[in-house]
Amino acid sequence: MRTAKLNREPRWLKPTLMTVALTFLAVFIFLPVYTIFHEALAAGVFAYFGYFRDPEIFSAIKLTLLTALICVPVNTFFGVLTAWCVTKFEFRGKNVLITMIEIPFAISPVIAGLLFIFLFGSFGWVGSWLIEHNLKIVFAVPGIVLATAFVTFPFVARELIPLMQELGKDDEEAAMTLGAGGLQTFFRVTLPNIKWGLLYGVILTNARAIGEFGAVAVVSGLIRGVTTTMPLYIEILYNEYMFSAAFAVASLLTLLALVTLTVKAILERFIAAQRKIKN
Amino acid sequence: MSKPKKSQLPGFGLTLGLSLSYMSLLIFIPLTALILYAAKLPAADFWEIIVDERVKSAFKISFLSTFYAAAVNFFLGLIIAWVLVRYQFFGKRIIDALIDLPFAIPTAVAGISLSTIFSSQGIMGKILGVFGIDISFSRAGIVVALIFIGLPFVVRTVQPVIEELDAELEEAAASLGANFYQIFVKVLFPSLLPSLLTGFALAFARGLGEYGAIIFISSNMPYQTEIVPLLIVKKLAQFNYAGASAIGVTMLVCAFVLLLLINVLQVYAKRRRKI
Amino acid sequence: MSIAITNISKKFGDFVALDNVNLSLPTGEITALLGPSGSGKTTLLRIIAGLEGADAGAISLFGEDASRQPTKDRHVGFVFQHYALFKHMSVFDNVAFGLKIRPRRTRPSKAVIRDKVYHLLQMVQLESMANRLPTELSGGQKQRVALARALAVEPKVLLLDEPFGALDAKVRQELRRWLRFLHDEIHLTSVFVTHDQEEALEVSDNIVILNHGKVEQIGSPEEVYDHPANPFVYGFLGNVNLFRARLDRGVLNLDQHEKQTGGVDFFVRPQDVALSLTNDDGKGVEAKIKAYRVLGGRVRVELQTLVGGKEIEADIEKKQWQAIRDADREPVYLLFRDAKIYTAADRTWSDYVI
Repeated sequence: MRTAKLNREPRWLKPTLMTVALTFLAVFIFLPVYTIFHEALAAGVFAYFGYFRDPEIFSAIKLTLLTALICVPVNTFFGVLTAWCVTKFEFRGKNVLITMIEIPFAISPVIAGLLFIFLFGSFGWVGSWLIEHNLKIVFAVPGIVLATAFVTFPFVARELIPLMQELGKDDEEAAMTLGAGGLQTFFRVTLPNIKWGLLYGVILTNARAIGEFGAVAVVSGLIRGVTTTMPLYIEILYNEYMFSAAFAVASLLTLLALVTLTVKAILERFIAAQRKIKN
Repeated sequence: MSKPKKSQLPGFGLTLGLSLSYMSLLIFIPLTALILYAAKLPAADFWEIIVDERVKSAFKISFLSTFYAAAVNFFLGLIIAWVLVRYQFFGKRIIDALIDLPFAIPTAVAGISLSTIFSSQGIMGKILGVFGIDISFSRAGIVVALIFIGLPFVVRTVQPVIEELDAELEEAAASLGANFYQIFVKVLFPSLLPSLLTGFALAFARGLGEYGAIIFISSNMPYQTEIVPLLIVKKLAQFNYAGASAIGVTMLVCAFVLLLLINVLQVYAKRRRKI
Repeated sequence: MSIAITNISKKFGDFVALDNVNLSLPTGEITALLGPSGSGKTTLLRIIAGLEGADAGAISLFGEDASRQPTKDRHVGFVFQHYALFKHMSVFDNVAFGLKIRPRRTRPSKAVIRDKVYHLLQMVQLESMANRLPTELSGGQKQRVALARALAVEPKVLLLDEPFGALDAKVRQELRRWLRFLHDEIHLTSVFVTHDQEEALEVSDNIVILNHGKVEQIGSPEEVYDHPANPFVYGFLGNVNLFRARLDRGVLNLDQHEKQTGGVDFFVRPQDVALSLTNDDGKGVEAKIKAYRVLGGRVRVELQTLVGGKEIEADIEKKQWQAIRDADREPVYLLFRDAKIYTAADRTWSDYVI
């Protein structure tokens, strides 16, 4: 089949398309990654590790990890609930709900941050109540966590929904006829079926939670050492012309991105294999 | 929402209740807060903010740059997807996995890296400088950043469709005497078009709201290289909440229209794929 | 009565799946729910199991109202059409599932579970497959695992949804006999759904025929086959020749069009049509042979009557066919050994025997 296809394609097509595609990818994928590590190490390995002794970098890493540590489990939990609800039941308004899940992806991260400014800012009744009780949400850590939770909410649900729709309800019904309750059915029957898809969603949630910039930039208030996440700290360093330090922090996030892509590629193969078993 | 009719599995009330509560707290209530604030503005003030020259040019710059970038991705995405599906070459799997880099890498990281590459001292800046092109700090810089951000969308929507393309379709066309160009234009391209358009729309929607990848490579000059999300951030920094909310709501409307359009396109593409 | 169904109705949107169904199913017997697709048979089975909620009506299991009980408390074993085996569990773990998930105080010990699972696997002749994964089994083996799994929880009722539907013809035959045999051993009240009348006739003690969400007839296989309640049941249970004719003082007159008044509907099964070369008593109907097909030991002959032009199918023995073919004479004479006449006006049947 393949050779027949090649026979019909004009001879110049493959080399031309390959050249165009690979050049483009070289400029837009390989070069950026290379540059990050090149710039980070521009002043030598010794200097590179020196940057991480800066307590502000340390607190930025801590805040980023804290944010991910809260957002990932919470969004995973609610993502699974939402996917269960829309795939196991028929109800009116279901398609609207599925579309709503996509809202955080559809709107600009800057708007996402803006929403929380207007919800908790000093001019609404929520804001006045917060001030009265001396609680700070925006321009503080809770605001960063909320904005991150907002932008990362869809990942788990949108990964699970098509998968669970495809798998159907037979297994769950079988478990129930054998006397299993809701939680037993989920943990013993559903979860093993969706585990790779779920992990895939979790990995993407984590990557975005750690890397989110726009939404967090708006609600952070950029209090150094307090409300600067790693991406925000990169901006600060870059704007202060501390390029190597900025790229050093960037190199950590790039490594994480590369790990994410590797795990993702492996999981994709597992998910494809599981789909094949089902069919 | 009514009670479920088709299934007696447990947990309907619980899961629906919890999901809706969470989504309300996280998504709907904050959305309402922004919209309510903007709604309190007198219509005339709202209008004045939106038709302000600087705001209008920011919208123009955002829409045009995003359109150019999505158009580039439309074609390059098709070529890359085609190469990844149809040709075998060394390192294909790695390249396939790396296509998603723009999804996985933080936008700020991409921003500083692209900015360095395309600056006058950077590799690409020097190469393009030979031809007298200066991308960094110009509008072209915005487009470059948006091409990067939008790349996976077109590739990932078209790739599975090319994989599924029925070889028999091509063979049937060939057996009827069609040459490669005729097959591509009359058989292949029409079957790929719905997914290409979906990818285009996804890249466009994402690009319109992009902030982190752009602000480093762009000079962020009002009237010239200032995009809408940046303008919102600037208004906020000046405590101009009325301005930020009005522009924000306008962007929100654009996003919802695009979301709707993408949904329609996806339904259309899915239906085409089934036949 | 082990299962009593009263006034059950169920709609899916505008589609009426079940329309006021009333049924009582006897204890210890196999009942077949037989009907064409869309007749509501699977929906009824799922309602008995509690997998589907009825819009109206009540279900009682062994005298206890189960209408509001969730599936897990109904003690029904359910065998799914596509088996629904848990793919990530071995055959052993699949069968043991229902026992392992019990709360600690009612859960049997590991050794007891083990013995029980192996006993069941022995019964379904799969004890050597205990450690395999479902993907490594054939369709028939999967079906037997599904059955063992359903039996492991000692259900009061066994429900099977198209149990042989996804299997090829030969395996289906074997499994049918085996299911019947198994039932004769354990005498569990069982209900199975099928669209295959032969399957229903062969396996069950009791047949419920459904059409468009309504019960058309209930009875033993012999009863429903020999005394169908209405034309639908007659047509659904085996092949039948249906034609409109007149009875002129007891003599069959085929010169009758569909739309003419005064006619009655004749039903004759192909095996009740005899062919003869002679017309000794003058009661035979003249017909010519249009086509034939040899099906192993029997022959299906398509004929057309000279008067009225009715298409009639006859199912005769090969030897008889050979005699007729060798004679090579036309016309041949048809004799209806057992024809039924249905009068739609008063919904009654009467026999017409030559």
